[in-house]
Amino acid sequence: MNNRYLGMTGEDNSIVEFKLADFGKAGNEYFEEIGLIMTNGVISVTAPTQVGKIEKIRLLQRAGIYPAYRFISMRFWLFNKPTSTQVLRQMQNFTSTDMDGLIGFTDFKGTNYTPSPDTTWEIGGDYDSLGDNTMTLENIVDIPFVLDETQRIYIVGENIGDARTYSDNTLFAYLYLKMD
Amino acid sequence: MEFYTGKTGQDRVLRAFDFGTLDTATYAANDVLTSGAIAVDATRFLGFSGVIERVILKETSSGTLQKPNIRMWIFGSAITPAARNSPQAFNGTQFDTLVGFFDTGINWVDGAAGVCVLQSSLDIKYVCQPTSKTLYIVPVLQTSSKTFASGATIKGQIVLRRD
Repeated sequence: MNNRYLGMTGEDNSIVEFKLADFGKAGNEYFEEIGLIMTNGVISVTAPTQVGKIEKIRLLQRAGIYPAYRFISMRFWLFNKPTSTQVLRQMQNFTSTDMDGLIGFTDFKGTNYTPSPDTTWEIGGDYDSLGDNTMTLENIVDIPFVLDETQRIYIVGENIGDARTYSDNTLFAYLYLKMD
Repeated sequence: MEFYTGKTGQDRVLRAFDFGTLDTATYAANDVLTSGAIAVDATRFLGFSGVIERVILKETSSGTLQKPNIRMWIFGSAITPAARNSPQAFNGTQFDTLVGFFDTGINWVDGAAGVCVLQSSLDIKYVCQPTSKTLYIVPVLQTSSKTFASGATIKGQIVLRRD
């Protein structure tokens, strides 16, 4: 992967989009404790490159019930290897082996973050053509990564905010990558 | 050295490192944590350069996690620091090859029981000495009075942007 070919040097931009969690399908979910997993286990996505840098992460929340969007706070963990099993609404439990694959983490300190949030969910329009409410939140980050040949990034969300209940919400995430 | 078409520019590599066996006797502030400097393969050629972009540390312990604040001294050539659990005492000759240092801080984040991690985003330019492709790291305790349980470990990853 360190080989560089004519026309393939330099950097490039790319976006990876994926669904983080759908809180609506399994019924209402209540995140009463800091440390609870907020994603449907470990989310695996394929990056367009083996080596690069994450420059921005944006969350998009879609709520099917007005006004059921939630001002959540999430620690966004990124790994370059699969981790042990992490279960929605159970406590984060990364082992020492898991941490060997840690790329990094970033905290979305949203509106429900104690003692004080450092970012605010931006609310989009009311019901759109899909019947959704939308809101979005982004973190500017600077996280270089080196992946194995599978080019997979493994992602887990952990609650770091006050208690919130979800009724019919879906979370999406966008990774803004700069490829080597 | 020679350059070939398509092989110029920088690359980015991930390196792992290990503090080795930690002393179970109490460390005082300014004590060296390791037995010797930690070597990290860092450049493509002797005397070349790069940027340290990121360091992740992981502490494991069957006892109480110490979550220390560590000053990571980085040198561009081999050095022999003070003995483990002795005060840091770099001399003038050693400082001639100093690349820089950074403090990890204490924002350790817990994983499962007995494991925690810390991340530092950095922008430390380095040039290895003409006879070296290696960086040498000497971790020195900033926080006072830390005692590690038997078998406790501190390991890490470092992301380098190599010229």
